Amino acid sequence: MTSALSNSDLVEKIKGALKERFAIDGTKVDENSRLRDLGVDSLHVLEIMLDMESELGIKLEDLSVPPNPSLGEVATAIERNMAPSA
Amino acid sequence: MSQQQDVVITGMGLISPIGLDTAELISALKSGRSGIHLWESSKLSKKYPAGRVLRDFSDEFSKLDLPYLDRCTQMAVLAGRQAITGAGLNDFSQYQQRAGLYYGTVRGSAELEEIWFEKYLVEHAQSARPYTVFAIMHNAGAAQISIRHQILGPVMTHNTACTSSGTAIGDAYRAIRDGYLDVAIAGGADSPLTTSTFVAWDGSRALATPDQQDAGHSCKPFSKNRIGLVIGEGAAFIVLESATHARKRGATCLATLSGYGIASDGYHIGSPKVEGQVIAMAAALKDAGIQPAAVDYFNAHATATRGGDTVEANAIKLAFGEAARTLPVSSTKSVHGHLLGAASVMELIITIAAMNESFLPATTNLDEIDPDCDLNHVVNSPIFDRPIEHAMSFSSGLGGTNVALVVSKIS
Repeated sequence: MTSALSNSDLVEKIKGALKERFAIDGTKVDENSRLRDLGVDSLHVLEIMLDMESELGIKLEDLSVPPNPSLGEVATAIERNMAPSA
Repeated sequence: MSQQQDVVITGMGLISPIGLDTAELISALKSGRSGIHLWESSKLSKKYPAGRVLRDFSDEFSKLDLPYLDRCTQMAVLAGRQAITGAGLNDFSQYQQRAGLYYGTVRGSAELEEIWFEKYLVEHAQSARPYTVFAIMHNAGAAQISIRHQILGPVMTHNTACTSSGTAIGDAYRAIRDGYLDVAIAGGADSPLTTSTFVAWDGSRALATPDQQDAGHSCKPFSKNRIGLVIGEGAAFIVLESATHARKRGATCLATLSGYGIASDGYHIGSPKVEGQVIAMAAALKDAGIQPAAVDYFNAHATATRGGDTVEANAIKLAFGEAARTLPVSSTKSVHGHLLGAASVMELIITIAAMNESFLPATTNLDEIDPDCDLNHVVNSPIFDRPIEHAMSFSSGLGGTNVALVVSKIS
Protein backbone atom coordinates (compact mmCIF):
# COMPACT_ATOMS: atom_id res chain seq x y z
CA MET A 1 0.00 0.00 0.00
CA THR A 2 2.59 2.50 1.13
CA SER A 3 5.01 1.81 -1.68
CA ALA A 4 2.52 3.33 -4.13
CA LEU A 5 2.91 6.77 -2.58
CA SER A 6 4.85 9.27 -4.64
CA ASN A 7 7.05 12.02 -3.27
CA SER A 8 4.31 14.55 -3.96
CA ASP A 9 1.78 12.36 -2.12
CA LEU A 10 4.11 12.40 0.89
CA VAL A 11 4.51 16.18 0.62
CA GLU A 12 0.71 16.50 0.81
CA LYS A 13 0.61 14.24 3.86
CA ILE A 14 3.32 16.31 5.54
CA LYS A 15 1.38 19.48 4.75
CA GLY A 16 -1.65 17.88 6.39
CA ALA A 17 0.37 16.98 9.48
CA LEU A 18 1.82 20.52 9.68
CA LYS A 19 -1.69 21.93 9.64
CA GLU A 20 -3.03 19.42 12.14
CA ARG A 21 -0.14 19.65 14.58
CA PHE A 22 1.01 23.24 14.26
CA ALA A 23 -1.79 25.16 12.48
CA ILE A 24 0.47 25.91 9.50
CA ASP A 25 -1.61 26.88 6.47
CA GLY A 26 -0.93 24.30 3.76
CA THR A 27 -1.95 26.65 0.96
CA LYS A 28 1.11 28.81 1.68
CA VAL A 29 3.71 26.06 1.51
CA ASP A 30 5.02 23.74 -1.18
CA GLU A 31 7.72 21.15 -1.55
CA ASN A 32 10.41 23.81 -1.73
CA SER A 33 9.38 25.58 1.48
CA ARG A 34 12.12 25.48 4.10
CA LEU A 35 10.72 24.29 7.41
CA ARG A 36 12.83 26.70 9.45
CA ASP A 37 11.13 29.56 7.61
CA LEU A 38 7.83 28.23 8.93
CA GLY A 39 9.13 28.20 12.51
CA VAL A 40 9.48 24.42 12.42
CA ASP A 41 12.56 23.07 14.25
CA SER A 42 14.23 19.67 14.21
CA LEU A 43 12.00 18.25 16.96
CA HIS A 44 8.87 19.36 15.13
CA VAL A 45 10.24 17.57 12.05
CA LEU A 46 10.86 14.47 14.15
CA GLU A 47 7.28 14.52 15.36
CA ILE A 48 5.97 14.88 11.81
CA MET A 49 8.07 11.89 10.76
CA LEU A 50 6.72 9.87 13.69
CA ASP A 51 3.21 10.88 12.65
CA MET A 52 4.01 9.50 9.18
CA GLU A 53 5.13 6.24 10.77
CA SER A 54 1.75 5.84 12.40
CA GLU A 55 -0.26 7.00 9.42
CA LEU A 56 1.56 4.88 6.87
CA GLY A 57 2.10 1.88 9.11
CA ILE A 58 5.84 1.88 8.54
CA LYS A 59 8.93 1.95 10.71
CA LEU A 60 11.41 4.71 9.93
CA GLU A 61 14.79 3.14 10.61
CA ASP A 62 16.65 6.23 9.41
CA LEU A 63 15.29 9.52 10.77
CA SER A 64 18.08 11.68 9.37
CA VAL A 65 17.19 14.73 7.27
CA PRO A 66 19.42 17.43 5.76
CA PRO A 67 19.97 20.61 7.79
CA ASN A 68 17.07 23.06 7.40
CA PRO A 69 15.16 20.68 5.14
CA SER A 70 12.45 21.56 2.67
CA LEU A 71 9.14 19.68 2.72
CA GLY A 72 10.30 17.77 -0.33
CA GLU A 73 13.51 16.70 1.41
CA VAL A 74 11.58 15.40 4.41
CA ALA A 75 9.36 13.47 1.99
CA THR A 76 12.47 12.04 0.36
CA ALA A 77 13.83 10.97 3.75
CA ILE A 78 10.59 9.09 4.45
CA GLU A 79 10.56 7.63 0.94
CA ARG A 80 14.08 6.31 1.48
CA ASN A 81 12.82 4.24 4.40
CA MET A 82 9.97 2.86 2.31
CA ALA A 83 12.15 1.61 -0.52
CA PRO A 84 12.23 -2.18 -0.76
CA SER A 85 15.49 -3.51 0.58
CA ALA A 86 17.88 -4.93 -1.99
CA MET B 1 35.95 44.95 42.99
CA SER B 2 34.09 48.17 42.28
CA GLN B 3 32.06 50.03 44.88
CA GLN B 4 28.83 48.33 45.99
CA GLN B 5 25.80 49.35 44.00
CA ASP B 6 22.34 50.22 45.34
CA VAL B 7 19.79 47.78 43.87
CA VAL B 8 16.35 48.92 42.78
CA ILE B 9 13.28 47.11 41.51
CA THR B 10 11.90 48.50 38.28
CA GLY B 11 9.41 45.88 37.14
CA MET B 12 6.96 43.39 38.63
CA GLY B 13 4.80 40.77 36.92
CA LEU B 14 2.67 37.93 38.15
CA ILE B 15 0.09 35.29 37.38
CA SER B 16 -1.52 34.41 40.69
CA PRO B 17 -4.68 33.07 42.32
CA ILE B 18 -5.61 36.65 43.30
CA GLY B 19 -4.72 38.46 40.12
CA LEU B 20 -3.15 38.23 36.71
CA ASP B 21 -1.22 41.47 37.16
CA THR B 22 -0.18 43.81 39.97
CA ALA B 23 -3.28 45.99 39.71
CA GLU B 24 -5.59 42.98 40.15
CA LEU B 25 -3.43 41.75 43.02
CA ILE B 26 -3.69 45.07 44.87
CA SER B 27 -7.43 45.18 44.34
CA ALA B 28 -7.83 41.65 45.74
CA LEU B 29 -5.66 42.39 48.78
CA LYS B 30 -7.64 45.53 49.54
CA SER B 31 -10.98 43.75 49.24
CA GLY B 32 -9.85 40.52 50.91
CA ARG B 33 -10.93 38.43 47.93
CA SER B 34 -9.69 34.86 48.24
CA GLY B 35 -8.12 32.96 45.36
CA ILE B 36 -8.52 29.65 47.15
CA HIS B 37 -10.99 27.22 45.62
CA LEU B 38 -11.69 23.51 45.78
CA TRP B 39 -9.44 21.30 43.66
CA GLU B 40 -10.43 17.75 42.82
CA SER B 41 -9.22 14.86 40.74
CA SER B 42 -11.17 11.89 39.42
CA LYS B 43 -8.37 9.73 40.83
CA LEU B 44 -8.68 10.92 44.43
CA SER B 45 -11.49 10.55 46.91
CA LYS B 46 -10.68 13.77 48.79
CA LYS B 47 -11.10 17.32 47.61
CA TYR B 48 -8.48 19.88 48.60
CA PRO B 49 -8.52 23.66 48.90
CA ALA B 50 -5.94 25.15 46.53
CA GLY B 51 -4.78 28.57 45.37
CA ARG B 52 -5.93 28.29 41.78
CA VAL B 53 -5.40 30.45 38.71
CA LEU B 54 -8.74 30.00 36.96
CA ARG B 55 -7.47 30.48 33.45
CA ASP B 56 -5.96 28.35 30.72
CA PHE B 57 -3.03 30.09 29.00
CA SER B 58 -2.52 27.88 25.97
CA ASP B 59 -4.19 30.47 23.72
CA GLU B 60 -1.29 32.82 24.47
CA PHE B 61 1.16 30.61 22.56
CA SER B 62 1.47 29.23 19.04
CA LYS B 63 0.97 25.54 18.35
CA LEU B 64 4.65 25.37 17.49
CA ASP B 65 5.55 26.68 20.95
CA LEU B 66 3.05 24.78 23.04
CA PRO B 67 4.68 21.32 23.02
CA TYR B 68 7.68 22.86 24.80
CA LEU B 69 5.61 24.67 27.41
CA ASP B 70 3.67 23.04 30.18
CA ARG B 71 1.47 25.17 32.46
CA CYS B 72 4.32 26.06 34.83
CA THR B 73 6.51 27.39 32.03
CA GLN B 74 3.60 29.15 30.35
CA MET B 75 2.92 31.10 33.54
CA ALA B 76 6.64 31.78 33.99
CA VAL B 77 6.98 33.17 30.46
CA LEU B 78 3.89 35.38 30.84
CA ALA B 79 4.78 36.71 34.29
CA GLY B 80 8.40 37.25 33.23
CA ARG B 81 7.30 39.18 30.15
CA GLN B 82 4.95 41.30 32.27
CA ALA B 83 7.80 42.26 34.62
CA ILE B 84 10.27 42.91 31.80
CA THR B 85 7.98 45.02 29.64
CA GLY B 86 6.68 46.80 32.76
CA ALA B 87 10.26 47.89 33.38
CA GLY B 88 10.45 49.25 29.84
CA LEU B 89 12.76 46.46 28.67
CA ASN B 90 12.45 43.57 26.24
CA ASP B 91 15.63 42.40 24.50
CA PHE B 92 18.69 42.19 26.74
CA SER B 93 21.23 41.23 24.09
CA GLN B 94 22.96 44.62 24.33
CA TYR B 95 23.95 43.72 27.91
CA GLN B 96 25.73 40.54 26.81
CA GLN B 97 26.87 38.82 30.03
CA ARG B 98 25.82 41.71 32.30
CA ALA B 99 22.14 40.67 32.35
CA GLY B 100 21.08 37.59 34.30
CA LEU B 101 18.04 35.55 35.20
CA TYR B 102 17.46 33.79 38.53
CA TYR B 103 14.51 31.42 38.67
CA GLY B 104 13.01 29.35 41.45
CA THR B 105 10.76 26.34 41.21
CA VAL B 106 9.94 23.38 43.42
CA ARG B 107 7.92 21.00 41.27
CA GLY B 108 8.75 22.44 37.85
CA SER B 109 6.66 20.87 35.13
CA ALA B 110 5.13 18.24 37.41
CA GLU B 111 1.89 18.15 35.48
CA LEU B 112 3.42 17.08 32.17
CA GLU B 113 5.66 14.52 33.80
CA GLU B 114 2.63 13.03 35.50
CA ILE B 115 0.71 12.89 32.21
CA TRP B 116 3.48 10.86 30.57
CA PHE B 117 3.86 8.54 33.51
CA GLU B 118 0.14 7.85 33.34
CA LYS B 119 0.41 7.13 29.61
CA TYR B 120 3.13 4.64 30.43
CA LEU B 121 1.05 2.98 33.13
CA VAL B 122 -2.29 2.97 31.33
CA GLU B 123 -1.43 2.86 27.63
CA HIS B 124 2.00 1.26 28.06
CA ALA B 125 3.50 4.12 26.06
CA GLN B 126 7.20 3.47 25.63
CA SER B 127 8.16 6.87 24.30
CA ALA B 128 7.00 10.45 24.88
CA ARG B 129 6.67 13.24 22.33
CA PRO B 130 10.03 14.55 21.12
CA TYR B 131 9.79 17.77 23.15
CA THR B 132 8.87 16.29 26.51
CA VAL B 133 12.32 16.17 28.04
CA PHE B 134 12.81 19.86 27.20
CA ALA B 135 9.45 20.73 28.71
CA ILE B 136 9.83 18.86 32.01
CA MET B 137 13.38 19.86 32.91
CA HIS B 138 13.37 22.07 36.00
CA ASN B 139 15.17 24.95 34.29
CA ALA B 140 12.67 25.09 31.41
CA GLY B 141 11.05 28.28 32.71
CA ALA B 142 14.37 30.07 33.08
CA ALA B 143 15.59 28.89 29.69
CA GLN B 144 12.39 29.90 27.88
CA ILE B 145 12.51 33.43 29.31
CA SER B 146 16.21 33.81 28.56
CA ILE B 147 15.71 32.70 24.95
CA ARG B 148 12.71 34.97 24.38
CA HIS B 149 14.38 38.02 25.92
CA GLN B 150 18.01 37.28 25.00
CA ILE B 151 19.34 37.18 28.55
CA LEU B 152 22.91 36.09 27.90
CA GLY B 153 24.58 36.20 31.34
CA PRO B 154 23.95 33.74 34.18
CA VAL B 155 20.62 31.93 33.80
CA MET B 156 20.19 30.01 37.04
CA THR B 157 17.51 27.76 38.52
CA HIS B 158 17.12 27.59 42.30
CA ASN B 159 15.47 24.69 44.07
CA THR B 160 15.45 25.51 47.78
CA ALA B 161 11.88 24.40 48.46
CA CYS B 162 9.62 27.23 49.62
CA THR B 163 12.46 29.76 49.43
CA SER B 164 13.39 28.97 45.81
CA SER B 165 12.46 32.37 44.44
CA GLY B 166 13.78 34.07 47.59
CA THR B 167 17.27 32.68 47.10
CA ALA B 168 16.93 33.51 43.40
CA ILE B 169 16.22 37.15 44.27
CA GLY B 170 19.03 37.15 46.82
CA ASP B 171 21.60 35.94 44.32
CA ALA B 172 20.40 38.44 41.71
CA TYR B 173 20.63 41.21 44.29
CA ARG B 174 24.17 40.29 45.26
CA ALA B 175 25.31 39.98 41.64
CA ILE B 176 24.12 43.52 40.92
CA ARG B 177 25.24 44.97 44.25
CA ASP B 178 28.73 43.54 43.77
CA GLY B 179 29.04 44.83 40.23
CA TYR B 180 28.81 41.60 38.20
CA LEU B 181 25.52 42.53 36.52
CA ASP B 182 23.69 45.70 35.51
CA VAL B 183 20.25 44.11 35.41
CA ALA B 184 18.59 40.83 36.39
CA ILE B 185 15.20 39.15 36.28
CA ALA B 186 14.36 37.11 39.37
CA GLY B 187 11.33 35.14 40.41
CA GLY B 188 9.75 31.76 40.21
CA ALA B 189 6.89 29.58 39.07
CA ASP B 190 5.09 26.42 40.04
CA SER B 191 2.09 24.51 38.77
CA PRO B 192 1.82 21.86 41.45
CA LEU B 193 -1.91 21.17 41.40
CA THR B 194 -1.55 17.55 40.35
CA THR B 195 -2.61 14.23 41.80
CA SER B 196 0.92 13.18 42.71
CA THR B 197 1.59 16.46 44.53
CA PHE B 198 -1.53 16.19 46.65
CA VAL B 199 -0.95 12.50 47.38
CA ALA B 200 2.62 13.20 48.50
CA TRP B 201 1.66 16.18 50.63
CA ASP B 202 -1.35 14.38 52.04
CA GLY B 203 1.06 11.77 53.34
CA SER B 204 2.74 14.41 55.51
CA ARG B 205 -0.65 15.33 57.05
CA ALA B 206 0.31 18.96 56.56
CA LEU B 207 -2.49 19.92 54.15
CA ALA B 208 -5.60 21.86 55.14
CA THR B 209 -8.99 20.27 54.60
CA PRO B 210 -11.65 22.46 52.98
CA ASP B 211 -13.38 24.90 55.31
CA GLN B 212 -16.91 23.60 55.76
CA GLN B 213 -18.58 26.96 55.10
CA ASP B 214 -16.34 28.33 52.38
CA ALA B 215 -13.29 26.67 50.79
CA GLY B 216 -11.88 30.17 50.28
CA HIS B 217 -11.38 30.40 54.04
CA SER B 218 -9.40 27.18 54.44
CA CYS B 219 -6.00 28.74 55.01
CA LYS B 220 -5.77 30.16 58.55
CA PRO B 221 -2.21 31.28 59.38
CA PHE B 222 -1.51 32.12 63.03
CA SER B 223 -5.03 31.06 63.99
CA LYS B 224 -5.76 28.85 66.96
CA ASN B 225 -7.92 26.90 64.51
CA ARG B 226 -5.37 26.51 61.73
CA ILE B 227 -5.52 23.16 60.01
CA GLY B 228 -2.60 23.13 57.57
CA LEU B 229 -1.24 24.66 54.42
CA VAL B 230 -3.02 25.27 51.13
CA ILE B 231 -0.95 24.64 48.01
CA GLY B 232 -1.21 27.22 45.23
CA GLU B 233 -0.01 27.79 41.69
CA GLY B 234 1.37 30.79 39.90
CA ALA B 235 4.42 32.68 38.71
CA ALA B 236 5.95 36.02 39.62
CA PHE B 237 9.05 37.98 38.61
CA ILE B 238 10.76 41.23 39.43
CA VAL B 239 13.32 43.23 37.48
CA LEU B 240 16.32 44.35 39.51
CA GLU B 241 19.00 46.74 38.40
CA SER B 242 21.63 48.97 39.84
CA ALA B 243 20.27 52.34 40.82
CA THR B 244 22.88 53.95 38.59
CA HIS B 245 21.74 51.94 35.60
CA ALA B 246 18.05 52.59 36.30
CA ARG B 247 18.68 56.33 36.60
CA LYS B 248 20.72 56.37 33.41
CA ARG B 249 17.91 54.87 31.36
CA GLY B 250 15.18 56.88 33.11
CA ALA B 251 13.40 53.86 34.57
CA THR B 252 10.66 54.16 37.17
CA CYS B 253 11.90 52.68 40.45
CA LEU B 254 9.28 50.82 42.47
CA ALA B 255 11.41 50.06 45.53
CA THR B 256 14.95 49.65 46.75
CA LEU B 257 15.94 46.10 47.60
CA SER B 258 17.97 47.12 50.59
CA GLY B 259 18.70 43.92 52.50
CA TYR B 260 19.06 40.19 52.09
CA GLY B 261 19.69 37.58 54.74
CA ILE B 262 20.06 33.85 54.26
CA ALA B 263 20.74 31.18 56.86
CA SER B 264 20.13 27.46 57.06
CA ASP B 265 18.92 25.48 60.05
CA GLY B 266 21.09 22.39 59.71
CA TYR B 267 18.46 20.75 61.85
CA HIS B 268 15.67 18.64 60.31
CA ILE B 269 14.42 17.94 56.79
CA GLY B 270 10.81 18.86 57.62
CA SER B 271 10.87 20.95 60.79
CA PRO B 272 12.04 24.55 60.98
CA LYS B 273 14.23 25.92 63.75
CA VAL B 274 13.89 29.31 65.40
CA GLU B 275 17.62 30.10 65.41
CA GLY B 276 18.12 29.82 61.64
CA GLN B 277 15.17 32.11 61.00
CA VAL B 278 16.37 34.70 63.51
CA ILE B 279 19.81 34.77 61.92
CA ALA B 280 18.33 35.30 58.43
CA MET B 281 16.08 38.13 59.66
CA ALA B 282 18.90 39.80 61.59
CA ALA B 283 21.27 39.47 58.63
CA ALA B 284 18.77 41.19 56.32
CA LEU B 285 18.31 44.06 58.79
CA LYS B 286 22.07 44.46 59.08
CA ASP B 287 22.48 44.33 55.31
CA ALA B 288 19.84 47.05 54.96
CA GLY B 289 21.55 49.11 57.65
CA ILE B 290 18.36 49.55 59.68
CA GLN B 291 17.25 48.82 63.21
CA PRO B 292 14.28 46.48 63.89
CA ALA B 293 12.07 49.41 64.87
CA ALA B 294 12.47 50.90 61.39
CA VAL B 295 10.50 48.04 59.81
CA ASP B 296 6.89 49.09 59.26
CA TYR B 297 5.48 45.82 57.91
CA PHE B 298 6.46 42.14 58.02
CA ASN B 299 5.08 39.71 55.44
CA ALA B 300 5.39 36.35 57.13
CA HIS B 301 5.98 32.94 55.60
CA ALA B 302 3.33 31.39 57.94
CA THR B 303 1.77 28.56 55.97
CA ALA B 304 -0.80 27.69 58.65
CA THR B 305 0.86 24.51 59.86
CA ARG B 306 0.72 23.86 63.60
CA GLY B 307 4.46 23.84 64.16
CA GLY B 308 5.74 26.21 61.49
CA ASP B 309 3.72 29.29 62.45
CA THR B 310 4.79 29.07 66.08
CA VAL B 311 8.47 28.76 65.19
CA GLU B 312 8.23 31.80 62.94
CA ALA B 313 6.35 33.85 65.55
CA ASN B 314 9.07 33.08 68.06
CA ALA B 315 11.76 33.96 65.54
CA ILE B 316 10.14 37.33 64.82
CA LYS B 317 10.05 38.09 68.55
CA LEU B 318 13.70 37.23 68.96
CA ALA B 319 14.93 39.00 65.85
CA PHE B 320 12.92 42.17 66.41
CA GLY B 321 13.03 42.26 70.21
CA GLU B 322 10.97 45.06 71.72
CA ALA B 323 9.99 46.26 68.23
CA ALA B 324 8.07 43.00 67.64
CA ARG B 325 5.32 44.29 69.96
CA THR B 326 4.29 46.93 67.44
CA LEU B 327 5.54 45.41 64.17
CA PRO B 328 2.49 44.77 61.93
CA VAL B 329 2.62 41.18 60.69
CA SER B 330 0.49 39.30 58.20
CA SER B 331 0.55 36.14 56.15
CA THR B 332 -1.16 36.75 52.84
CA LYS B 333 -1.08 33.01 52.12
CA SER B 334 -4.51 33.12 53.74
CA VAL B 335 -5.87 34.40 50.41
CA HIS B 336 -3.49 33.01 47.78
CA GLY B 337 -2.12 29.81 49.32
CA HIS B 338 1.45 28.60 49.19
CA LEU B 339 2.89 29.15 45.71
CA LEU B 340 5.98 27.00 46.44
CA GLY B 341 8.66 28.14 43.97
CA ALA B 342 6.83 31.43 43.41
CA ALA B 343 6.02 32.03 47.09
CA SER B 344 8.89 34.34 48.08
CA VAL B 345 8.68 36.55 45.01
CA MET B 346 4.87 36.72 45.13
CA GLU B 347 5.01 37.85 48.74
CA LEU B 348 7.80 40.32 48.06
CA ILE B 349 5.67 41.87 45.31
CA ILE B 350 2.77 42.09 47.78
CA THR B 351 5.12 43.78 50.26
CA ILE B 352 6.25 46.32 47.65
CA ALA B 353 2.65 46.95 46.60
CA ALA B 354 1.68 47.52 50.23
CA MET B 355 4.57 49.96 50.64
CA ASN B 356 3.70 51.92 47.52
CA GLU B 357 -0.04 51.96 48.28
CA SER B 358 0.45 52.68 52.01
CA PHE B 359 -1.63 49.84 53.37
CA LEU B 360 -1.09 46.76 55.51
CA PRO B 361 -2.39 43.56 53.89
CA ALA B 362 -4.29 41.31 56.29
CA THR B 363 -4.11 37.75 57.47
CA THR B 364 -7.67 36.65 56.78
CA ASN B 365 -9.47 33.82 58.60
CA LEU B 366 -7.84 34.94 61.83
CA ASP B 367 -10.84 35.01 64.14
CA GLU B 368 -8.93 33.60 67.09
CA ILE B 369 -5.18 34.25 67.33
CA ASP B 370 -3.11 31.35 68.63
CA PRO B 371 -1.63 32.55 71.95
CA ASP B 372 1.63 30.88 70.89
CA CYS B 373 1.71 33.23 67.87
CA ASP B 374 1.02 36.46 69.73
CA LEU B 375 2.24 39.18 67.42
CA ASN B 376 0.83 42.49 66.24
CA HIS B 377 -1.30 40.83 63.56
CA VAL B 378 -3.17 42.65 60.82
CA VAL B 379 -6.38 40.76 61.50
CA ASN B 380 -8.88 39.90 58.75
CA SER B 381 -9.03 43.33 57.07
CA PRO B 382 -6.28 45.48 55.62
CA ILE B 383 -5.32 48.68 57.40
CA PHE B 384 -5.19 51.70 55.10
CA ASP B 385 -3.25 54.96 55.21
CA ARG B 386 -0.22 53.41 56.88
CA PRO B 387 3.05 54.76 55.48
CA ILE B 388 5.71 52.07 55.05
CA GLU B 389 9.33 53.13 54.72
CA HIS B 390 10.90 49.70 55.18
CA ALA B 391 9.33 46.24 55.08
CA MET B 392 10.55 42.68 55.38
CA SER B 393 9.32 39.59 53.56
CA PHE B 394 10.41 36.30 55.07
CA SER B 395 10.38 32.74 53.71
CA SER B 396 11.38 29.43 55.19
CA GLY B 397 11.90 26.30 53.11
CA LEU B 398 11.61 22.63 53.89
CA GLY B 399 15.12 21.39 54.40
CA GLY B 400 15.98 24.45 56.44
CA THR B 401 16.79 27.37 54.11
CA ASN B 402 15.62 30.73 55.47
CA VAL B 403 15.50 33.94 53.47
CA ALA B 404 14.66 37.48 54.54
CA LEU B 405 14.37 40.36 52.08
CA VAL B 406 14.09 44.02 53.05
CA VAL B 407 12.58 46.57 50.70
CA SER B 408 12.64 50.31 51.23
CA LYS B 409 10.61 53.12 49.76
CA ILE B 410 12.18 55.13 46.98
CA SER B 411 13.02 58.49 48.48
